[in-house]
This record gives sequence, C-alpha cells and structure tokens, in this order.
Amino acid sequence: MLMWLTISFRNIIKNGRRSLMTVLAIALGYAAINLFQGYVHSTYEGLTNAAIHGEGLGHITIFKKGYLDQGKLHPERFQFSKDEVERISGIVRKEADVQLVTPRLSVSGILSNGRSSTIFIAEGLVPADDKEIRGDLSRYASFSGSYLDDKERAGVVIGSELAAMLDLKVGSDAVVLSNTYSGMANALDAKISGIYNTGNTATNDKMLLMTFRHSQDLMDFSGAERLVVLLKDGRNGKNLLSVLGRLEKDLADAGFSVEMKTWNELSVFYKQVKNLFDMIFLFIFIIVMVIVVMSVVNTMSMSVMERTREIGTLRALGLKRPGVKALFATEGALLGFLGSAIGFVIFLTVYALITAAHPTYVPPGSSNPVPLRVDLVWPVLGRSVLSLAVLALLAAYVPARRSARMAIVDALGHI
Amino acid sequence: MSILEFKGVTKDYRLGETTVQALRGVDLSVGKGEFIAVLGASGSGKTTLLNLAGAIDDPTSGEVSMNGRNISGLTDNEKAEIRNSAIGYIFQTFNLVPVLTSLENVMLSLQIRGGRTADIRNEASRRLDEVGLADFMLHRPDKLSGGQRQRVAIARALVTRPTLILADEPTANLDHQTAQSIIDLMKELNEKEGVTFLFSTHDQRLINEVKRVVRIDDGKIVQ
Repeated sequence: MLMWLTISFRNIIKNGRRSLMTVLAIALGYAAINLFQGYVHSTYEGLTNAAIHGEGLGHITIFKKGYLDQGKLHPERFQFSKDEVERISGIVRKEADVQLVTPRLSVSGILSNGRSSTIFIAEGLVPADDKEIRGDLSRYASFSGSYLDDKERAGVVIGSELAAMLDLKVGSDAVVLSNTYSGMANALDAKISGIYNTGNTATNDKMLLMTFRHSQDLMDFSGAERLVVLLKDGRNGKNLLSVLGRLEKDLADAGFSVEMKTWNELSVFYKQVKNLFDMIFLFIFIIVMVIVVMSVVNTMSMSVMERTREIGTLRALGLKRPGVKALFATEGALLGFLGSAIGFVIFLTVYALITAAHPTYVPPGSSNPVPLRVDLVWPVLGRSVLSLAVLALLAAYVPARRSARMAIVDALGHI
Repeated sequence: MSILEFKGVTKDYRLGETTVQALRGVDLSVGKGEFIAVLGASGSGKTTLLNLAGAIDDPTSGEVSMNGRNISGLTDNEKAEIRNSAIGYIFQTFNLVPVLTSLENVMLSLQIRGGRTADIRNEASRRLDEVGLADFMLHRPDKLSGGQRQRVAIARALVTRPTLILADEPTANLDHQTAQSIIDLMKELNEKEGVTFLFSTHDQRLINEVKRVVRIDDGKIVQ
C-alpha cells in the first residue's frame, strides 16, 4: 500500500501544474462548503436561541388537546383551568431535566392612548419566569424603562414602533381593550413600563407584554392558554424528544388530554429559514461536487492516458486489475485530501478575517443589524475532508476502471 | 524437462476488416536453463510469441503450457499470479516506472506479491548489487544511462526468481559497449544461476552467444 501511495503522490508532484488546478478546485469547493456551513450553523444557533429564549417559546409548549386545530375558533373550550394548570405544572416539575414550567395567556385587542388607538397582540406572562427564559430584556440597548413586575400589575412593555404610533413613552398611561372568552368587551388601565425593539418588523408595531395576572383580568379568566416548559442547560437536541416522550406519558397517566409541541415545531420562522438554507446548501454542494468530479475525472483520465505503458508494465509484472484500479483511485483520493487540506487553510484564513472584521448585515424581516458570523464546526470540517476524498476517489474510479480493463499487449504497445 | 511448451499455437489479430495471422501453428519446447534467441524479420511474429509465452496474451488456438500447466485457459487473476511468480520481463524500452528509484522499481514485483518490506528491500538491493548498480539504488530512471536502466530492468526481472525470463529486443536501444555488457550479464546469469532466457533480437553479438536459435518467418518456426 505504501508503494501505491508513493507512486500516487510522486505522480501528483510530477504533474504539478495539472494537479495544482485540480487541487485548487477541490480546495475552493471545500472552503466554500465549509464557510457556508459555518455561517448556517451560526445562524441556526442564533435562530434556536432566538426561538427558545428571544421569542420565549421555551423548549416545550403544552396545549389542551385540540387547541392547535380549533383553539382560535373556540378559545373558551381549549383553555386550562386554574386547577389543571397547578396539577400539570406539578407533574412537569417532577421531571429532572425541567428547569421551570410557566403559564401563558395570549391576548389581542386595542391599545389606546386616550386620543387614538391601534391593535395589539399580547402575551400574558409571569415576569420572574419570563426573565429566566428570556434573560433580563431591560439590559439590552434597545430597551428603555423597566421590565414587567408583579408588583406593578398594570405595567406593560410594548414594541418601539407601537409606542411611536401612539406617541407613548415610558410612564405613559394607556388603555387595553379586549373581548373576554364569554364575548364581553373589557377595558383595563395600563402603564407603559418599558419600550423595546422586538427585532422583527412584523411584530415591533403591535407587540405588547403584560403580567399574567393582568392578562387574566383582561380576559376575565383564572386559567391559562398554555404552559411553557424550559429545560435545563444543554438538554436541547436528542434529550428534548426523550423528555417530551416522558412528559406525554406522565400526563396521559394522570388523565390529562394534552398535546405538546417543541420549540422548532412552533417557530415558523426557524423552519422557513432552515428549509431555505438547506436548499441553498444542497445547491452549492451539487455545484462543488460537479466541479470536483469533472476536475478529478479530467486529471485522472489524462494521467491514465500518459501512463498507459506503465499500466501495461505493472500488469506484466503481475499486478491484478483491482490493483490498477486501487493505484489510480489512491491518486484520486490523495488529490481529494490535498485539496481539502489547502481548502482548510483557505477556510481558516477567511474565518480569521471575518472574526477580526466583525461585519454586520440586516437580514430580511429584522429591524436590527446582526453580526455575520461563521462557526468552527469541527465534525463538519472533518466530514467534508472525508466526503471530498471519497468523491475524488469515486471520480478517479471511472478512468481507473478503464485502465484496468485495457489489454496488456495494447497497453505495452501504447506510445 | 521443458518449462515452456507451445503446441499448435495460432494467433490472429483483427485489423479493421482484415485478419492478420501472427502465428500459424507454432510448436516449441523450452528446457530449463536454456538461452534461446528468437530471430525473424519485423512482423514475423517474434513479439507475439513472447507475449503468449509470458501470459500477457491468449492464443487463438493451440496450447501454451508452463511447467506442464496450460496457461491459455486461466483466469486473468491466475495469469497475473503466474506472471508475477514464474516470469520475468525485460523490455526493449526498459519500461521502468519513472517516479520510482532504481531500488523501488526492483522492489515492485515483490511488492505486488506481498511480504515484509524490509525483506523485499534487502532482496532488491542484492539484485541491484548483482547487476552492478549498488551505487545507483536511489537514482530515478531519468538520472540513469540506457545501459543502467536496462540493468535495473534485469534486476527487476530476476528479483522474483522466475522460471523464465522473456526479453524483447533487450539490446536494441543501447550503444555497442553497453549492449555488450548487457549480453555478458545475461549470459553470466544463465550460466551461473541457471536462469532460462528466451529473447527476440536482431543483435548478431547476442546471436553469437546463444546455444539455440529459433528462426521465425511469417508466423511459422522455420528452424
């Protein structure tokens, strides 16, 4: 094997210029794939974080069975009662991987400053629990005022566009108006305790956060629409599904008819972005694959043509057909490895430049610039080396097979 | 006892629409330790005869046997094993692998067979030493003269201790003095080690050294 590696390596060096073009094609392909993968990984991480913590979805959301199909039509039928909230929360808290479980109530209605009004969508949430899920929003630069506090029951936090539309400032008084589940209109006083940029143009002009008790008052309801479960650090991924399975069983055993959704099932934006990026990645990978395969096939075909007499000699010396195939396939794989190695250096150089330059951009649907980041994902970098080497090996196999099938007499007589 | 035997061997080649009869019913027996020259004009069938003897081509009809075993009907892998273990080749154009050193070229046949690299290296070094190239083991073919390259090819042919060495015009590409040294070396190996040589040649000096001449004309052995 060492001899075949030696022959392959020296032939690559011998045909330096031709090999360099092939190796560069593979290197640029490797760098392109991994820079995009690193960017996608960073984006997925950001989106995951944004969905679980930023959007406050937590890891798992528990709904009453049927809510997702008919909850908007008949909300009163698919709410958890106060007693159900307490009992379900008790069961969920017993799960070792659960950090907290908290009730939520969605409200929509009209926000008024006394002179004009506009629609809002609101989340009624327990301030202390929400701080645990989202972190302290008031620490962000785009946040002004203070966050929700159970002591300030009528306090609300609103999107900056919504505040601008109604000329509301921190400390301003307002009125929230909504329909209760029984269909009655209900209005309550509200005080603007905080204003923030939601980061999403679609929600920044209508988002309102209120305390859970305030939302219960507005809806004239003592229960909750759903329960949000936050798992302990590092319990996302495979653990998430096993926790989900255990909770489903525990709640079913206790006689509750519920349905549960994970954060990625609920975050439409995450799913859309992931599908888009997966499609773009597939497109880039196919282009790189075609370039790599064509380069390697071309190089190896020329190599086979130039070394026909050598093939005849090796066969005359007793090398079997699989041995000839292995010889050229080894050369193809070596081209793949060398290309990947140089591609890795190119990747690291671009990675270092991006890390040093901190470029930012405003993605579609976002109201804030976000940093352009590329993650170092070692398993992906390693897998790419292997994939390109295997791809180059397979590409080399076609001319290698042709060379192995050549009649020895013809190969020896080749000029 | 014959180590190589041709019985009624014919070989046809298709050249477009026409069929060329390269060999027409050849019978030949080569005994152990013989030093045989095959003579004939260009296109007479010398190379075809050597190709069939070396199991790198198949006869159209007839039988080619080596050590009593018919090699014509063997599979490709079986023929490769015979070529590796029982036959050594010396080509007119040396056919060394250009990216390998002299030593590595000689090691090739043994590497194909398999074995401990250290043993293979020792055996190849010994053979190179025998052909007078002890100081050129790490030279690549392009740094060697024609005579030195042919010596490497002879060492490569010898290294597996084959039953038979086939040489196709081994001195054709060499100058007078070098050709003589190659002839002397082959003769010495034949006499001292009992290596059997079957070679095609036009070189009168080589013909003068042989014990037996096989003359071939238009695909038939005439003498």
